[in-house]
Amino acid sequence: MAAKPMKKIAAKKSAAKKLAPSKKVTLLQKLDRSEALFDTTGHYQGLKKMPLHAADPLKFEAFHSRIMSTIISVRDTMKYIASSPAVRDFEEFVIGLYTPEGDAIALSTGIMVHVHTLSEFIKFMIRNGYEDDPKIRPGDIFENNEAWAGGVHTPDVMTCIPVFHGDELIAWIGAVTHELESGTYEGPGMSVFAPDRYGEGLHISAEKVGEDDHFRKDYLLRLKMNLRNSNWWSLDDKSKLSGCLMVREALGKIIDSYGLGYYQHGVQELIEEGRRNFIKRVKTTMVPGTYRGVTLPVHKRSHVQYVHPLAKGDFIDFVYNEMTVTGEGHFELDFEGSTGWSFHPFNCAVGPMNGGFWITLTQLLSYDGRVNDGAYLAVKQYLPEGSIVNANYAGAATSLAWWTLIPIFANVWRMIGMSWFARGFVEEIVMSTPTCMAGVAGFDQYGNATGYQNFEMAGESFGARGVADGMDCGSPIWNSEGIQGDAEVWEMTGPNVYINRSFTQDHHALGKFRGGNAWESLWLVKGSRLVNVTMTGSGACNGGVFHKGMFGGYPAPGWKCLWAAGTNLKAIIDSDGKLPANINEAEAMLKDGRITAKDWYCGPLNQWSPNLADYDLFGVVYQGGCGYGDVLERAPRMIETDLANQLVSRDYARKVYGYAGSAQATEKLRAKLREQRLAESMPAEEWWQQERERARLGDVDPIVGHTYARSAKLSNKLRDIYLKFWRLDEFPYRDTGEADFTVTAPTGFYYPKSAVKKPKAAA
Amino acid sequence: MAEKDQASQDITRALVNRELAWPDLLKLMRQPKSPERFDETVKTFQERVAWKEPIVLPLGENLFVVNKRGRAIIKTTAGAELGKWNENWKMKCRIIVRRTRADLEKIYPPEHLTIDTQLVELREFYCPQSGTLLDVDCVPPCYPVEIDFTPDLAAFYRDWLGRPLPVTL
Repeated sequence: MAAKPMKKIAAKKSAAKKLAPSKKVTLLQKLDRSEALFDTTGHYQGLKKMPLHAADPLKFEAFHSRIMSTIISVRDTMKYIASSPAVRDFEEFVIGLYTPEGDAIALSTGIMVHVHTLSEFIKFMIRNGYEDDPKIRPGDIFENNEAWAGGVHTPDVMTCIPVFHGDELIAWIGAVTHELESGTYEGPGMSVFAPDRYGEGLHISAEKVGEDDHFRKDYLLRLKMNLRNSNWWSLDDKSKLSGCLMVREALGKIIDSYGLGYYQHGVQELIEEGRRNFIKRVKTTMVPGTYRGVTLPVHKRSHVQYVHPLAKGDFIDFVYNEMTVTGEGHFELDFEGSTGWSFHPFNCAVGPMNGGFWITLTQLLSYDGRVNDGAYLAVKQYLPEGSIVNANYAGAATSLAWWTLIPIFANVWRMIGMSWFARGFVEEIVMSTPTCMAGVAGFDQYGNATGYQNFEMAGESFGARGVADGMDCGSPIWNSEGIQGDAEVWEMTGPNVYINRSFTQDHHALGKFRGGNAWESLWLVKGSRLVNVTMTGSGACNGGVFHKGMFGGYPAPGWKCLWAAGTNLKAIIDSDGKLPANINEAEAMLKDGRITAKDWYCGPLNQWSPNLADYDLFGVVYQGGCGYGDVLERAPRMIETDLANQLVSRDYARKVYGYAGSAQATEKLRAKLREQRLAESMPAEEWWQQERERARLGDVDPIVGHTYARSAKLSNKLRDIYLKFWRLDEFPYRDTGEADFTVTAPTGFYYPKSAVKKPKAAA
Repeated sequence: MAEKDQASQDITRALVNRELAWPDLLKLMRQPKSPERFDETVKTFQERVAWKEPIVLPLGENLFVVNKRGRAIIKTTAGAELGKWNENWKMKCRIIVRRTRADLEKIYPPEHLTIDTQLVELREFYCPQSGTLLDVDCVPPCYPVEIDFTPDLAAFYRDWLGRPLPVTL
């Protein structure tokens, strides 16, 4: 082997020396310097060149692999320390390594939403002067689930430790678990009905909760006293801490191998490389331009008996989203035109929106192992202050921010898919999943207070791909590792037994490639005399749709839930009678009296049931994501597979797919259906003429009228689009349906802010 | 070299025609993205349509920006021309608006349908020539019709592909 050229070795030594850290620089100074360097140079830490990578690419790659393999293997070990089924069985956790300034270097698999939320948490501590008070010392443990400090919602609990080399802080390690119970008013970890943050459970607001590598006793007592099931949270905390300590130990060995200077500069190069790779991937696979999409989660709560007066309303959280891929390969999301925040837990702040953006970036564009904050440097989100995507009320609840995030970012997946299609990368197109869920609260089969959401929803079915149907029973948008899991685990977790878990026939989004098929669970209460359930659908599909499909694909027909209190099911079982095989059959039996109940509900509206007891029923139909392409272009072989698997009935296949058995008969029927379409349709311009008067009068349901008015209250964007399209002078919507009041944004501390939109140049 | 190019074109043709088996699709997903894919895709779509105008950009399964005598317009697979490249092509389509439960039951099973037609309507946009479904919008009643994508053709051709823009914008 040839000797290394002396010149190269000298260059490497010089680079390391130059990069030797100054011990007197504070974290705040480092953060300011880093941001200023990026602002002035466009490169992370001003790295126009990457000397370590250039000097020895193989060493650099080995360095990265050491970090990544450490993080990923530690995550697997953590799973066996954790307590809650969410972590042990359903993969609801993640761990990562950060720079002293709080920039993500490397993340494990898992809930990737937290690549940047952890980053915001660290920056929150730095910018709020934690170096002075409460001080950041070796062995300290910090924790957060606070949206104002970068978190998403109370159940996502971050645990973070600083790593020191001598007296210099050289890294942070952070981990996140989703807690099934977080001390909410209702019981389950994510509140459906809290009007504000004061009902959404235990907030740990970027606090020091441990010293000397141990959680403080007062903190553990606080968990014990404020949670129904503190074991899940505190043992998951210990799992996260163990993971952080394992990474810290491994990091020491990596630094021993490579040297501190190499480590400190190397991680900066990794992030700059992440930024460059992201832009390269965008330019290689996408098409620049402006993409548009709307989502309109419908929330209905006025029918629910136990809702706080502030929160008792029916409304649409309308989100207008313009996605721009710039000529430079940057990515911008602009949400101007969206409606405002309100007294419900579906609000988003900057932290949740960053989280939502990250699950998109990491699953679609930045998935090659270099998942780090480099990609974040090439993206921007413009989040109008006071809107649903950037609530500015200090008391705003974000407990179910996901109900806004899921449809928004699933729709972004669709828009990215359009871009891939235009470039020819149809194999990459994938649309994501809605989330529907049941929460259980009260007393469990062991006589203990309980509260949890059944995370089998993590197996909800995908939207269609560009080359295949959506996966039946897939993984959710918020965790690519998510799974439906074993029914038996949920039977141990709460006072319920499954009497059904199956696919729902003829329930999917139509298209050339269909959305993943709906599936459902029906439970019998078992082992409790006092339990109740909350049920809701993401994008809160209380009569709304998830988002539109692609190129002629449809959305799914909607979700549904059921509960029945005071039933005769014990008598039915004792007499060997027929139990319902699915939710629709249960509904039919309740209607015709084969099942009797004191009270029951079956439908798509948010629910908080009365107290249930043994032999009562509840269930959820989990709908799938959206369809792709014209339904009459669906390949007959795919229909035949669905027929064989009983996912579609012969009648429905004929009606919507034009499937008539043989290829010839099918083509003949489809030709007829296309003619029928032309006969039943009208020119769009003719429709416009007919519809204009209605648009002028604003003759729509009050909920829709309120939505338009609430959008116009914050911005002229949608109003102007409306007036231009309908060629009107006056916007007919004035009544927002809500009290006219003002609120104050939090004061007295730093919190993450939206990117600021540059004013458009005058035409 | 020519053989390699042909093989790559054949794979893209099979991809566009959805004739690739799953293992081959997985291979494509895992491979580095080929810079030739765009041209191969355009070539395949061009082979599938009966009209002659060169495709500038595919917009959908049955919708394209094409070069008609130096001007960029929108054209469907069947040949219907739907206006300038950056105009609202949907307004040149035929439309069915589903705004009642009965309308929606024509496409959804009644026992599963829970969409509230007071709040959301489905607008189906059809190619006026063939009856092919080009797009379905799901919006509140009276919501303006918008197009989902306005490409930056100049940046794409000149800056990203490094070649002259074949149309005058």
